[in-house]
Amino acid sequence: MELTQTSSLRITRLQDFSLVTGILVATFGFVLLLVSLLNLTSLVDSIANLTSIKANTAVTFVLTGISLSLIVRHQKWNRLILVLSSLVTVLALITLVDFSLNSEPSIDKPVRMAPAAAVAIVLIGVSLATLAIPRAVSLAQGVAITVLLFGFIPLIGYAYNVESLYSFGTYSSIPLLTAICFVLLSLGILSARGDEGLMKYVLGESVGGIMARRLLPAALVLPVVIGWFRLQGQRLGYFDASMGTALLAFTHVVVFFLLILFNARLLRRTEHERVASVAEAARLSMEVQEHLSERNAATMRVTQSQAQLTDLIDSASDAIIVADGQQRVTLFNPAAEKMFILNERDVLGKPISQIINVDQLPDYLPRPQRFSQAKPYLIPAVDSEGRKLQLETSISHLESARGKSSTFILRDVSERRRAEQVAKESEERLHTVIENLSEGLVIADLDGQILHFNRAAIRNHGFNTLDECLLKVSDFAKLLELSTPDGRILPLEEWPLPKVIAGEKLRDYEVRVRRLDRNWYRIFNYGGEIVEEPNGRPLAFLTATDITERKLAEKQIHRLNEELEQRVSDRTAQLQAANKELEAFSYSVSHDLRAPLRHINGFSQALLEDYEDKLDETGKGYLNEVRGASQEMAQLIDDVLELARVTRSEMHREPVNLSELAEGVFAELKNIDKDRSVDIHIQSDLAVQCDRRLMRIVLVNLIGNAWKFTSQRPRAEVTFGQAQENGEKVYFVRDNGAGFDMAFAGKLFGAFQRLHTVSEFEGTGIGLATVQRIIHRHGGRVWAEGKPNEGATFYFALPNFGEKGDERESDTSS
Amino acid sequence: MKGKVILVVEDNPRDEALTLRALKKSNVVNDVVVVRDGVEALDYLFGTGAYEGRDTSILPQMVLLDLKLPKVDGLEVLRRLREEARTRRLPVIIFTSSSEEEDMVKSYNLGANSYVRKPVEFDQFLEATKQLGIYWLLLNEVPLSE
Repeated sequence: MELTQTSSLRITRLQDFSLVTGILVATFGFVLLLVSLLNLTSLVDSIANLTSIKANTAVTFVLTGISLSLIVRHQKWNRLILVLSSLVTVLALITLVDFSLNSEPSIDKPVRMAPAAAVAIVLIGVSLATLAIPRAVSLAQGVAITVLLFGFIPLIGYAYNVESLYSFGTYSSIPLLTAICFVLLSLGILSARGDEGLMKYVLGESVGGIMARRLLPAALVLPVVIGWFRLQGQRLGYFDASMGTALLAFTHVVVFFLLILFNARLLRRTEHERVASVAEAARLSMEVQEHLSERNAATMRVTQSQAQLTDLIDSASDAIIVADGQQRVTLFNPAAEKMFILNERDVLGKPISQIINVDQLPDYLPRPQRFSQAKPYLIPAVDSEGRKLQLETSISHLESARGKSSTFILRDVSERRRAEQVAKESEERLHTVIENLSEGLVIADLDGQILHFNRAAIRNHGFNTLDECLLKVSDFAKLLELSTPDGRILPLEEWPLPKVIAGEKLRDYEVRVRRLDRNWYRIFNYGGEIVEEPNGRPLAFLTATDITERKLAEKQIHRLNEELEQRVSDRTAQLQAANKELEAFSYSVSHDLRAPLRHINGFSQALLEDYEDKLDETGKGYLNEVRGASQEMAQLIDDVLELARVTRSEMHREPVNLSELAEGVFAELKNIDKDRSVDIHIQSDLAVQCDRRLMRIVLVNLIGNAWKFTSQRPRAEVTFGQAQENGEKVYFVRDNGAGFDMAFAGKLFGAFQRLHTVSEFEGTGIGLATVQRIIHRHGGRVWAEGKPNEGATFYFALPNFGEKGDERESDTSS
Repeated sequence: MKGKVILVVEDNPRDEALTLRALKKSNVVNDVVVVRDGVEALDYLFGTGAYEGRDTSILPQMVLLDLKLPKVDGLEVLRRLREEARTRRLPVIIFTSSSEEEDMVKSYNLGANSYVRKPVEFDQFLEATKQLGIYWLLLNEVPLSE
């Protein structure tokens, strides 16, 4: 770089020199013209003491000087340069033609331009003209060197006083100033294009260039100078011609030897520097190489990540659009193509606003610097087919060396958002329900891989987390032991899930599940089958209802039932035993208690009959009391036995006409007590479901009582009828007899309870107890109302069996 | 008809006395044979045991059979009598203290001809005996034996 700079600096300096030369020559020519025009030639001659320069020569100097200056400074004025240099050539040629025709000079008067000078000027003109033509610089410079020699010869002639060298022929000579001007012009032309043509060898950076620059001046100047000294020495007589030539040769040898030696040293140093600089260059090159390879690696990495990025962009499901600083699209990925139904090549370079309405993005334009918003914007857009899109948009802006760019990532959420939301909500809802089911739910694929346990299933099977359960079903064999309710251990293929996977529809498959790793077991009711997902993938699902508690409860109930049955049968046995005892008791009472009474009675009678004469009236009276008492006792025994029988005997419910039953009872009473006159009222057709025999006992007792307690009434009245009380059918037996005090109503139905003395009304006090017992056995109620001396009414109500079912229900409930 | 006896099966001597008294008062002329338990009754009728050698072709006119008896009870005696062809048509009147439904049903089922409860009141007792005598000894007719 430094070398090049040195070189270009040198060229610039040469060009400056060339310009100066041009101006100098032009000025000189101009001065000569002025002199010749003002006829100051003599003055000039006196000053310069030189062969006067002809006016036409002066004109050519002006023109060539201007041309040279223009070449250096205004290269584009080629035409003007060509015109000027051509003019110079023409002027010089005319002079030459003039010479060759040997005619009267047409231009040069009084003195002609020397033919040699004319040749030189023609060459200068040609040189300048060709210099203006590109690629002809070498030719121009060759011509200029010729001119240089032309100028140099007269100069040597003047220096050595050899006239033949500056005075050609008889007509004219080349003046000293003209020769200097030739030298200057030719040097100027050579300098004008120092970097081109022949001059580049001299001015170049090669060793040759260096040597040329050093030796050329010496070669040009030293021989002339040494030759001049030899001539002066010879003229002054210091040495003769031979000696002079010898000295000349010697001096040349010495000077050139030294010069060459000096140059060789210089060259060597230069070479060293060169080698060093080459080594430096090599090192630098190495560094550059390394740097390059590093850069290559980096580039590779960049290329790789770029490839990844490209892949990413191409395969992204979101649309990605990149725009440059002018908001023109530079990237449009396949997802974007799909979203907008546009081809990337159709949109590249188009304004982004044609695709997305960027004005709708807040903060977008006011903040052109890099920014990325956290929350995506939602903007409406339309695809190329007019379909409306709802775009979730996120933007990032980037400013790099290559300029600004904006990246848009777009997601169409219009229809999908709703669908997704619905799907999501639905799934969440289902999930919530499934997770909160009290029933366990297990989902597996057909390979037996568990896909899901709901919370109940996890808990029920003794696990804590879902992860513990996501095994193959066969893996559970290490954790669980399954058996049937009766304890047979199930092989894996009889486990609920494998059965379902095998295609069985499970219903109520009761299995006892035991954890092998701890003291734990539960009983499950499994169900399940294979179902298909909408995508056709089959799934096996299993429901597991934990029925451990239920089973325990069932067991408990079963046990309690057994206990209860046992107790009932125990009780029944006890009851049966008690009944048996009671029966045996009744039996023996009816046999054994009556027999002595009969004996007392019989023998009293025998005494009365057989010993009538030995007994006075009092004695007979006593014996009659004995007989009466024995009879009473016998009646009492009969009544008690009946009461007992009422309790023991089986019930046979049947429809019974109570009215007819009552009529029968009245008929019997009338038959026994023929003297009584009683008004009897019987409501007809009172039918009820009951035990005929027992109900007869009821009526016998109630009607019998009424009959008995009205015995002292002149107009006895007994009514059997039915009344409605609170919607309930109530039967009653009413009389107008002795009645009773309600204060004692509670005592009425107790056994052996009497409200009247035996002397008033005979009776054992067991009848109403029997009535109550019979009515209770029918599930009914019995009660009485009465007033002393105003009569009594005995009511009984029976539940309505055997009639219409719904009536019965309403009756029992009322 | 004289010579035909009435067999009374009665373990209780008081009842026996009262029964005999009642029969006598009822003007029953037939001889009365009293046996005091079921075994004796069967021995008498089948000519076994204490009555070995008795002419069993002579059957009583009627049997008053109590139910509560030592050794073999009345119902068993009845069953045995009804099993034997010879005694199958023998008039047997159950004459007992109780009027238990069960006793009545069993008695009739075994082929008793009547069931009469002994009344406590002697007058009624007498009346009953009288009626029995009239009915079974006078009114009722039986086929000649074989």
